[in-house]
Amino acid sequence: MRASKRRSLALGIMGLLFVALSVGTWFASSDDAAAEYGDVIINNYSDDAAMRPVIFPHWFHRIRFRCKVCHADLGFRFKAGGNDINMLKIFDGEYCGACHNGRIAWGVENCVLCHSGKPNMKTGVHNSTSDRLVAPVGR
Amino acid sequence: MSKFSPFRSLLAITAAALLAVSWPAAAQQRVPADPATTGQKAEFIGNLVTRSVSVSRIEGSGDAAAMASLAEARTLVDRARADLKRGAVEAADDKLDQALALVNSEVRRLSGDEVRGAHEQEMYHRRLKAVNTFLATYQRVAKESNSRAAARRAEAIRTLIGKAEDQARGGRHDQALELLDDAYVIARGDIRELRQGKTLTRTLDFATAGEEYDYELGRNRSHFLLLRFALSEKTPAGSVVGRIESNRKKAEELRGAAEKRAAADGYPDAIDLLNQSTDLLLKTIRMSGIFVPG
Amino acid sequence: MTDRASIIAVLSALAIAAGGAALGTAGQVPQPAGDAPIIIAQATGAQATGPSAANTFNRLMKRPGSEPNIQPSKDGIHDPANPGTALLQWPSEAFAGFPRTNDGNRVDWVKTLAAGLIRPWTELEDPEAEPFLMDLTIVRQVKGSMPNVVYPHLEHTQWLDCTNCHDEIFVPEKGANQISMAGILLGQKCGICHGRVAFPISDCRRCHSQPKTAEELRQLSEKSSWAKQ
Ligand code: HEC
Ligand code: HEC
Ligand code: HEC
Ligand code: HEC
Ligand code: HEC
Ligand code: HEC
Repeated sequence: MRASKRRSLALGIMGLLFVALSVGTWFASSDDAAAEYGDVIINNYSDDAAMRPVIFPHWFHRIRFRCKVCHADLGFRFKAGGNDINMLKIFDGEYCGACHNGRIAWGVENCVLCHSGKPNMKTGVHNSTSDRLVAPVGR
Repeated sequence: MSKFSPFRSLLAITAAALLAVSWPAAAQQRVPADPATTGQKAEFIGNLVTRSVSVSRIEGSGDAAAMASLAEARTLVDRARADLKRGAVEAADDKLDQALALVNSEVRRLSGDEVRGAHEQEMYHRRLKAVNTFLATYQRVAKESNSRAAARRAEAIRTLIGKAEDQARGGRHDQALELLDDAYVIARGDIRELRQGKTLTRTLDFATAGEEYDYELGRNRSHFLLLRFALSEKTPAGSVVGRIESNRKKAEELRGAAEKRAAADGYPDAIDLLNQSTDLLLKTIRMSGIFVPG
Repeated sequence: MTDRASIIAVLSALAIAAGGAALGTAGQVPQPAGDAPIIIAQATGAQATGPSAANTFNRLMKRPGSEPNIQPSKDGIHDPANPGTALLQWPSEAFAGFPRTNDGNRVDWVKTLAAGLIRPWTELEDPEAEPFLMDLTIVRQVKGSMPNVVYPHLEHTQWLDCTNCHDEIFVPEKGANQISMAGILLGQKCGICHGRVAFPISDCRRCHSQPKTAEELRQLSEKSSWAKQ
């Protein structure tokens, strides 16, 4: 657990450096910007509760956990929005709350890290092949 | 700090980075309390105490203690907002955390084991189905090796499933899940023993012309969709687009002709026509610029 | 602990500043998150972007992710107005040094895991637990010139539990499942994961990886058994 404390501090300082280093560089101008592959938008409740929709980054979590942990042991179904997650279940230690409990990962008080999406987005895996086939981009 | 060594620090951060990647991280980390973040948090927790599933649960319960806690949480949020106005960010953040803790503990008290129980029950039913499938699979696979030990293993698995079902009938889904897990671990281990290192090939062989026609129809449909997929991935040059579209139309006609022949029981001809349509589509998919092996 | 942590943080910050400066003077594209892994990536030559955006590979590719691994605040779904967005990690930072592909996350997760660059947990309560691996391969013959599909259990059991697929997605019996490319493209069967989280469909060769032998091609082009009877 020590490593992560280090990491968080390092990240904090890097945050400042990001700003200094990244001005107008690398990924600067991009109109048709796209989210990371596998990002899931969860918005069954959020819009109605005046919350920003939740964005779940698969890439970030799969670096730390195998799919099995969430999809077999914790019982997340393979369906965006299909688990009917709400804060009550999270408080109770299910779904995201199995880890975001201040023990395995930072706790629920960090609303802004999960509720980070633009309002009014549709629940789903961003940019999945099947979605793009049904509504091909730019056409 | 005076003896700054780039090499040492590189090692240190390399190690830190590797550790960070290897271990899930830190409890107790939280976002900084600054005016913007805490302001947003006040809005969000404001929503939590006024228009959330948790509020409906508390209000629907009619529980006096819970209602009192909710009222207190609302007051705390209001006071946090006031703190924010006068720049006392840390104090505001503290009050928000208190409000959150109140709601958190009240709804958990109210729902008791209900939420967790429902989740466990659902997982139990999914697991039970999977374990039964694994038992059947084990028996099928074991039959090939014809071992008497296999029958005993299957019996052990069945016994565990039976015990799990007993527990589930008594509402103890958590214990039922554990028993199912034991059964599952035996079954998958035995299956692995019989299958480890093997390669099984599903070859194509059609008993009747109708069967082959059905396969070809599916393959043809896949190619139409693959073409659409290719066009959603790539932007072919303008000069090619016209040819792609006319090929697609041609392929559609060939498919229509095939369906007519099939309806008249002329399967062999229908298969040939479908193949022409499919081959044309494959050529067209390649024209769009996507790499198709083979 | 905290003071050691902060020393390391400061050290890394300095190293980043130095790294950034060095990059700048070398006339290369400055890196956004000059984190340690990026310095490693420099050493191994794993560069994410080329010198000129105009002359990239796959110029005609119009994948929306044409700027791969973009930072959250610019990815189109995260709200830059949310104060938490700036605290989220950038994929490009996390992925530096990972073996690359041309699709999806641009990460070859199979190789990244095999090389030990990541060590994802298998059990929530036991970080040391090892996954249950099984080496069973199913080959599914495909008609036409398309190479056959090779489905490897081994690579999947590295990540997944048997019950993730059996029996909700696949009956565990060779050939018992109807799988078609159309279904996969629409998100069924293999397409439940591939095209959404695991590597996407555009990488045909990773699944269609067994070219047919001349003998096999001949057999397949001949009429099937129904015609011989
Ligand atoms: C930390 C937990 C976690 C891990 C690890 C994880 N997932 Fe997920 N996965 C989720 C969540 C959360 C959702 C969204 C569920 C919801 O909205 O209710 C999801 C959704 C999905 C979906 C459904 C997408 C759709 O079509 O709607 C698929 C497929 C999926 N994950 C595959 C994977 C694969 C493959 C891996 C491993 C490489 C993986 N997941 C690892 C948590 C996880
Ligand atoms: C670990 C991630 C995570 C954190 C942290 C988090 N939430 Fe949520 N929250 C979710 C998810 C997932 C949902 C379901 C979203 C949906 O379907 O729209 C949700 C839904 C909600 C909802 C609507 C459903 C309900 O329960 O009423 C509210 C209100 C809410 N969150 C408030 C908050 C507040 C306030 C905080 C901070 C104290 C917070 N959340 C922190 C993940 C999180
Ligand atoms: C299996 C455990 C687990 C589950 C389940 C889980 N997370 Fe996480 N999550 C983590 C860990 C560990 C971190 C890293 C914490 C750190 O950096 O200190 C994390 C980090 C995050 C981050 C921040 C990523 C970044 O850029 O730093 C977000 C956002 C997040 N989780 C959202 C969610 C949501 C939403 C859910 C539920 C739908 C969820 N998580 C479920 C373990 C989990
Ligand atoms: C990612 C999905 C996936 C996972 C995870 C998975 N399988 Fe499979 N399995 C398949 C597919 C696909 C087939 C082939 C089905 C077909 O050809 O119709 C298969 C076939 C099988 C077969 C049939 C072989 C035969 O004799 O005909 C067995 C047995 C099997 N799997 C056992 C397992 C076990 C045990 C595990 C866990 C260690 C596991 N599978 C994990 C997808 C999966
Ligand atoms: C439950 C999710 C899931 C399903 C269903 C699934 N896969 Fe995968 N597959 C994965 C994951 C996760 C990986 C690891 C690589 C990645 O994430 O890109 C993977 C990797 C692979 C690889 C290994 C590539 C390599 O580099 O060695 C092949 C081949 C593959 N899948 C084929 C298939 C086929 C064919 C099917 C359908 C029969 C299928 N998969 C179904 C999740 C899945
Ligand atoms: C995730 C693995 C996977 C990927 C990636 C993949 N395929 Fe397939 N493909 C399959 C499977 C599985 C089948 C079904 C084989 C069978 O009949 O058993 C199939 C079948 C096909 C067929 C035969 C028609 C049919 O529907 O049975 C064609 C043609 C085909 N694929 C083309 C492609 C092309 C072109 C690409 C790349 C754009 C591609 N595939 C990418 C797994 C994959």
